[in-house]
Amino acid sequence: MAIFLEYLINFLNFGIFIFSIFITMSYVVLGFYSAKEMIYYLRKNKFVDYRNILASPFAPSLSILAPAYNEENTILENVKSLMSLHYNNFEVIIVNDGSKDKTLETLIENFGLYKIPYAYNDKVPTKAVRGVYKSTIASWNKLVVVDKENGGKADAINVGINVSQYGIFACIDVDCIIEQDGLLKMIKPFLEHTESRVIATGGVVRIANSCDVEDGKITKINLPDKFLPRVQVLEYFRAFLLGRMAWSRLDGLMLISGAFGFFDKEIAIIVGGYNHETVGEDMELTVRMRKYMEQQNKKYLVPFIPDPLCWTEAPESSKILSRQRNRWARGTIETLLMHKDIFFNPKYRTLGMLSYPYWLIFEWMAPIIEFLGISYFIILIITGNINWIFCISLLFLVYSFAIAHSLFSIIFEEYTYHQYKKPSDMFKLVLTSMIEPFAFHTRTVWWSVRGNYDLFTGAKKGWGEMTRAGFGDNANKKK
Amino acid sequence: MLKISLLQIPLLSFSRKFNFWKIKAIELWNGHPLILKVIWAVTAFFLLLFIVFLFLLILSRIYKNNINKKTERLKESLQESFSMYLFNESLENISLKEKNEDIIKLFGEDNLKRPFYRTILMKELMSLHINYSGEIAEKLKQLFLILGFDKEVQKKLRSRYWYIKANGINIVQQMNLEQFSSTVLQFVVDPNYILRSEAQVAYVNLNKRNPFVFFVELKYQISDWDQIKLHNALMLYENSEIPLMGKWLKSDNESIVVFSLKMIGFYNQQEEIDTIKKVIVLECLKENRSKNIKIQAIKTLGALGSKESSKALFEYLILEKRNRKIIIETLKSLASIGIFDDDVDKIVDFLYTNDYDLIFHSCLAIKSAPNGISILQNKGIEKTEFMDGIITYAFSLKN
Repeated sequence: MAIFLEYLINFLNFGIFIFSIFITMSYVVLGFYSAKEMIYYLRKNKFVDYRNILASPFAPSLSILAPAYNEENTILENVKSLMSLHYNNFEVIIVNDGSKDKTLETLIENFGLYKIPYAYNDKVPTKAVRGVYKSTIASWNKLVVVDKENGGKADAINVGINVSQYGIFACIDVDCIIEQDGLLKMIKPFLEHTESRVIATGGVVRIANSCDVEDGKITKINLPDKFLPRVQVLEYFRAFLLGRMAWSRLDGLMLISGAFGFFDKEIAIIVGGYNHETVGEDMELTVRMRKYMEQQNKKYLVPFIPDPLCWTEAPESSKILSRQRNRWARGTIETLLMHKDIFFNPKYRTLGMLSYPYWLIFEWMAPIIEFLGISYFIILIITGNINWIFCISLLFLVYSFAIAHSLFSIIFEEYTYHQYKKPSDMFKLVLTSMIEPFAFHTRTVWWSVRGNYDLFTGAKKGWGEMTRAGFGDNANKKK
Repeated sequence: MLKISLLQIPLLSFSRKFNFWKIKAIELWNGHPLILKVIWAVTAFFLLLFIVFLFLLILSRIYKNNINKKTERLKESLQESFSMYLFNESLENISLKEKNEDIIKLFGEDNLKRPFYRTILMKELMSLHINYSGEIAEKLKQLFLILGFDKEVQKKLRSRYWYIKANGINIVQQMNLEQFSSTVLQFVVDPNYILRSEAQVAYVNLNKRNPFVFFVELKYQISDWDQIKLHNALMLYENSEIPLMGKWLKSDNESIVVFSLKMIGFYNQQEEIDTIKKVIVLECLKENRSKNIKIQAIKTLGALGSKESSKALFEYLILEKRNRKIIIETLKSLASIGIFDDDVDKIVDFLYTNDYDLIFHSCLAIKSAPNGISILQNKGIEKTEFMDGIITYAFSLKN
């Protein structure tokens, strides 16, 4: 027993230590690749005139799919905002996912909608569609509203895919604010590659809390006043600018955000559309599409656009944020379990040999190992077996890396897009990065562990209630 | 004999203190295991990085703010100089030498030696040039040359870095600098995609006589994005200047054929109709032509919209039985041209395919015939619920 305990203690001591070294190294490597990709992206697009696509009759047509559930208060403004985006050939499909409020009635009344004798084609199986509506008003002729039985976000987007006319579809959260030239920038990768087929593009999602919003457009970018959304700004910097940019460079991007992603419809339909069985439907679809292309031995790409194009409202309360993180954790695990056959499978190249193992070890396992580490630390304190010098030294190491990494992401933002122009904003961000490891990170670890627990015990299924304050109360709204 | 000055006393005491702490630190360092030493060293490295990043961040902020302020001020003063240059008649009736001297005085001889000033001046000049055409654009181009920016462009074009070269080509294109057209031509088949792309558009802008001469040796595919850019460059041509694209339809480069077909359709180059018809027939008979070419040829026939096109499409529809995508594209083109009542029978078979898209587009094609809907209704075809729904929907759509 004593020998076993000794082995266990050694395993925990060195296992956690080695894991920390690997995770640190992975961040350094990703940061390096991200910087390389970002430099290339900025140089490549320095002279691009996106008006080329805007004016061209040869630009591809695009379907924007936006599922809506109980959005009666904000739907009008959101639809108008989507309809005003700069693009020539596009349709906006709003899928009312069986809302219990007056979302559909509001749309019908305000956009002059009427039910058309639409023949629904379920290329991807979905719940029943009650009706398809178009507008009698010429200025809204690009708007299509679909009313369906409630089936969740994945089901709603699948209906949108079935109804859409065009070959590329954009999946957008209806409450996000998209930059006016967002569609132009996201569609470009589909046009510029001749050797490989672009099956999806992902865009950066940014935090809009405290920003000035006018007629569904961001007019002034401000750093969120509250701590929780502000710390999420940092998180998003790290995830999008340092993480996904690098994965794009390595051709291993596994996640296109559900809030703003573009997909090749043909491939999405072949693989069966969004999966209803997971709450991480955005990641699952990306993985499935990639997997299909690998199986078919076809050349393909999943590029990532680092420009700030999509703005979303981040949760401001711990309660809502915990639900979001719980869902993210469950979605990740579900996707990884669904596609476990690609783990270290050379047939899937980067996806199987690099991306999947990374997600498994550093995204799924990291919070669990961290949680184990903290628990072990507490046990050692209680039993008086702690080596304080070693412990404090390690803590400082982790802390110094965390703040250096966060500051690197702030520098990245400063040198590239420079969105937060006020010096005080930068100061607040630096301060936040110094507080975050204690005041926020530990909580995300706990939420993630809860996500694991909820998934495996079946305690929680589905999305959970995600109430948003809207760009009215916490954002500075101008009319 | 030891002589110690008063100044040396505090220095000595400092040195002693330093040595004391140094020994203490060494003792501490030596008294711990290697693993701890590594952790401390790495922690110190990260803390140092943090400080460096912080320093860089502050520096960048100060630098950017200063540059922005300076740029704004400079832009304002340049507006005045540009107005003087463009609208001052006194510059018109003097010799070239005097004019050049006056212009250099206008912008300030010393200013023109400063790199920052020159960079902003060039940017402003270029952005003005984009917004103007005719005489003013020509005057701005002259100013560009008088101020010697062409030499900077030349330097950029000779750079060893692709992104600086691309910048040079972009300036050539924006300022319409014909003297660089032969240099630009060297890059149109460059292996670097960005360089090639910039150069092709610049070349089409600069050489209206034979803009696509580089198609002869172009082995790389022209991406859809570049095709859009090339088309936009052609939009600046007078209609009479648009080159006939038929000669490129036999190219081995798929993208050149597709682009040419697009242009033939867009500019309604009717004289090409026989060639395209031949291409389509050739596609039907020969398997080795790509699907992309076939689809674009069908679209182009639809865009040309003649009786000849319709005939060619029906011939093709009979031959092409395997590829669903191509059949759908053919039906779309037929619908856009409009078919004759007699042709409805040739399409009816597709209604029984149980394929939503095929049925839908067949209906649209049938609807395009003058009496298509009634002909179909009079036929009394046996409809499934699935088919009936699609037919009702297709016929309900506005033209």
